Amino acid sequence: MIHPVMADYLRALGTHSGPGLAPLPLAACADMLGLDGLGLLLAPGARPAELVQSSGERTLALEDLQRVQGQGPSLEAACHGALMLLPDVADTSAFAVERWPGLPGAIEALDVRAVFAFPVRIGVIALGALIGHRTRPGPMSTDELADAFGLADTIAQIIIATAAHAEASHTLVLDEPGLHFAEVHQATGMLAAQLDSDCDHALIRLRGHAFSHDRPLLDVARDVLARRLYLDDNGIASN
Amino acid sequence: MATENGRLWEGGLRITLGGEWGMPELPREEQLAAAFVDLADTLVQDFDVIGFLHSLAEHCVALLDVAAAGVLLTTPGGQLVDAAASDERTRQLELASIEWDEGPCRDCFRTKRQVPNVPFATEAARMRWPRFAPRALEAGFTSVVAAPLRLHNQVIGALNLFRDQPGPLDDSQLRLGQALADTATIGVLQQRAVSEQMTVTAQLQTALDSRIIIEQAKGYLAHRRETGVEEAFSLMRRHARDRQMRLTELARQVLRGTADPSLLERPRQ
Repeated sequence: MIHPVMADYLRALGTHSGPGLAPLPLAACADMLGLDGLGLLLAPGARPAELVQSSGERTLALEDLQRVQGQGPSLEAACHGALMLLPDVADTSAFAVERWPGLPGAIEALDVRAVFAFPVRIGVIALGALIGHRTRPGPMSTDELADAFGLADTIAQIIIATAAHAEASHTLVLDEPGLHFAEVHQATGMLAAQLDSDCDHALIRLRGHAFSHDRPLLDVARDVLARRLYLDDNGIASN
Repeated sequence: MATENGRLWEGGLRITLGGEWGMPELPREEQLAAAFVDLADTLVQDFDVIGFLHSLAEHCVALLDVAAAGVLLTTPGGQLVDAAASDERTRQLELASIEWDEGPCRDCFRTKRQVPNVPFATEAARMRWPRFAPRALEAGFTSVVAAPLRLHNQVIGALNLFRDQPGPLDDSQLRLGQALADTATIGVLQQRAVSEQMTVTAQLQTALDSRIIIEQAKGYLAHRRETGVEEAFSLMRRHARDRQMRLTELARQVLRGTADPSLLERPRQ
C-alpha cells in the first residue's frame, strides 16, 4: 500500500504534459521515507548510470564519489538491478567493506551513514535506480521499504510512459537541465581534444586525477573547463 | 512471405507431440499439459510469433479430431495476414481466403465470436462463401469451425479447424480448441507488451546517449575553437541548423574529428 500523500503526488505526475520527464517530488518523498536525500539514476540497458534528478545536499556528492571510484551501491542497483540496503556504512563487519574497498569510509566522510538503492525496472528490463541516504544510521522500516518499492515501480511506469510519449511527439525524453554530471561529459570532450584521444580514455584520465587527489569528479571537471587544470597523458597535472 | 513460411514450417517440425512424427505416444493428459506449457512459454529469447503460432496449429492437429489448422493474425490496421498453417494446402486456402475477403477466419474476426460448424458441401456454405467453400472441398475438407484469438474485447486473429471426415467437431473438442487459442493469445499479447517496452527502453538509451555525446562535443569543440562551452554549443547548433543536420549526428562528427573544418577550426583573423 503506497503512502496516501505520495499517491497524491504521483497522481499529479501523471498529468504532467511538458517536455521530458516530469520533475519528481523527491524531497517530499525522501521525507516520507525517513531519508535525507533521494536521487534518480537512469541507466537503460545497463549503460553507465546518469543522475537526472536529485534532492538533498549530499546526493550529488554521494553519486560523484561512486563515479570517481567506479563502484558502489547506486551503480549496482542501476546497472545490475540489485537491491542495496546499507543501514550503517560504519559497520566494518558488513559486506560493503569487502565488496567496495575504500568506499564505506569515503561515504562516512561525507557525513552519510546509511545508503539504500532501489532498482527501477520493469520485469527484467533495467531502467535505472532510486537512491536514498540518511546521515543517521539504521534500517528503513517495513512500511518505508514498501513505499520505496512502490515509488520505484511507479517511477518505472512514468519513465516508460514518458519515453513512449516522447517517441510519438519527437520531443526529448530528457529536458534541459537533465544531466547532473553534464560538466563531467563536457570536460571529458575537452580533455579528449587536448590529448587527441577518445572520450573513454579521457574520462578515465579525469577519474584517475579525481581519485588520486581525493577530489570530487565534478570539481576536477570544472577546473578543466575553466582551463585551470591541464592533464597530460603521463598523468601529470599542471595548473 | 511464402518462402519464409516454408522455412518456419520446417522449423516447426521440431515440435513433436505424440506419435505423429514417429515419436512414442504420450498419454493424452501429458500431451495436453505439454501443449499448454508450450503455448505459455513466450518469454524466451528470440521469440518468434510465427513459429509460435505454428506450434498452436500443430498442437490442434495432434490433440483434436481435425485434419488441419490455420491461424490468421490481424495487423494493427485491421488487415488479416496468414500467420501459420499445419500444412501447405491449408496455407494456400488461408491465402485465398484473405485475397477473396471471405471465409471462416474473416467472419470470426468480424463478429469476434466462434464460427460454429459449417459443412462445405451445402447450399448455405456456398451462399456464405461462394469461392472459399468450393476451394475447401477441392482441398479435401468437409467442414470447418473457427475460434477467435481473443482477450477481453481485443481480437488479434482467428484459428480455423478443418475436418476431412463426415460430421461436426465434438463440442468438448471445440472448447479445447478455444482454450488453446486463448492461451496462445495471452502469449502473443504478452510478447507484444514486452517488445513495446524493449522499444521504449532502446529509445531511452538513445536519448541518454545523445545527451552525453552532445555534452562531450561541446567540450571538444570548446578546446578546438579556444572558446567557452556555451559558445561552442551555439556554434554547433548554428552549424546543424544551416546544414539541416541532426545535432546528435553533428556531435558524433565533432568527436570523430570528421566535422566540417569551418566548424572545427578557429577562423583565421
